[in-house]
Amino acid sequence: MRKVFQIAFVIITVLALSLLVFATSEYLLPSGSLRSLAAFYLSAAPDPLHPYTSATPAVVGAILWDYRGIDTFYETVVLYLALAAGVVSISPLRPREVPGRRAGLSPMVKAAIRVVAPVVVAAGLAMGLHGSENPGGGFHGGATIAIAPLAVVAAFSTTFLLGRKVSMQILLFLMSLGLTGIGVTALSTFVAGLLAGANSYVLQNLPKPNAPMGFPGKTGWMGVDSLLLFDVFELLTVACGFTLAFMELMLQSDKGGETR
Amino acid sequence: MSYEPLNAYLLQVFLVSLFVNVALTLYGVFFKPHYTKKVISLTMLSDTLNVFAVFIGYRKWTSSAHPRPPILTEEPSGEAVSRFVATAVDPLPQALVLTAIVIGLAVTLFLTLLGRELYRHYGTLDMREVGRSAKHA
Repeated sequence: MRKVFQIAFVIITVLALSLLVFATSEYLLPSGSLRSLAAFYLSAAPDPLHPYTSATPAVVGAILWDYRGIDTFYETVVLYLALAAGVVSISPLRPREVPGRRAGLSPMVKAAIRVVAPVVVAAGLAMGLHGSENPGGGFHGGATIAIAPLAVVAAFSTTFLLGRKVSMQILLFLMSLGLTGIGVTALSTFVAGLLAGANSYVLQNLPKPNAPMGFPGKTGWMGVDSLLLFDVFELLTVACGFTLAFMELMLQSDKGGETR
Repeated sequence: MSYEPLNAYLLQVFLVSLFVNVALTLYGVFFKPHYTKKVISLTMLSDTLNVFAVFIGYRKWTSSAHPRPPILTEEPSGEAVSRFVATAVDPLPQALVLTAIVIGLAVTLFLTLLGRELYRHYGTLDMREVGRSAKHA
């Protein structure tokens, strides 16, 4: 009886969803035209002559850190709080002993990781630092970089990084530094506007028609805008946060350390 | 060559697979007794809904109009931007999905740690046994 009820649940859910999408197909299925908000973002973000430009060809990045920056800021805060809560809620571990040369996987795997890990870090850095102009961004880059310590921990030993002075405290400090950087960048134009007596906003990137304060943006071959800074700090927060979570979970799972 | 019949067929396949995925993941969340399977189902449900959100922002692919990603790949002149607006897909669902992925990751991390504490406390991750133990406690 219970099995019949479960199968009926799956079938009814599929039918209900298909009916819902059919009834609202005007809004949910792709059409040839764009919504007006999408047209605004697509026309404003890359066009340097538009009064509300972000001066970047990557419109998704512009939405994330410029037009809807406050959403992304709180998203980063949620991730930070989840990681910090995880670290403080589980028993802190320290390495039982410094791992010997024989710990971990085979020498071939270790040699491969020695080559691959720097490449992964370089790819993550490129993804993060070019995120304001290309596909990618701070989160993507940080998540990619975190793969390198995970691979190192898997190949060498769970205590390998701790033995190399990569402690939980340092990672938590770097994470906090990243989040503080995001906060300072978000407030910088607002504070500059207050000091100069000009109109300005929190999370303002480039100067706007009614708010003349802003980052210089693209000047010559190099550009400095808030998108680049946000991406750098997001990369730091995510890379250190994920490394911290991986290390803590792996230490806990194989009892590679002892409770302090 | 007209793409319309093939596109209509692929759209049906895509939508049906999404609906089935949502139903199966909801089944996993509600009826699977093991905590880890519930968390995995929840993650798959959120991924399915994220794919659906990105799909809502797409433009119809026809023989004459081929939608492009929302990244301008040429110098931003007035003409280039007009062409870009005429062909690019809606970037807003993609941005919101990126935010949803990060929030989902934070939730999954929290649930994983919660599962660990559950196992420490009750010695099992079978939610039926956890419920029974909690009742007798």
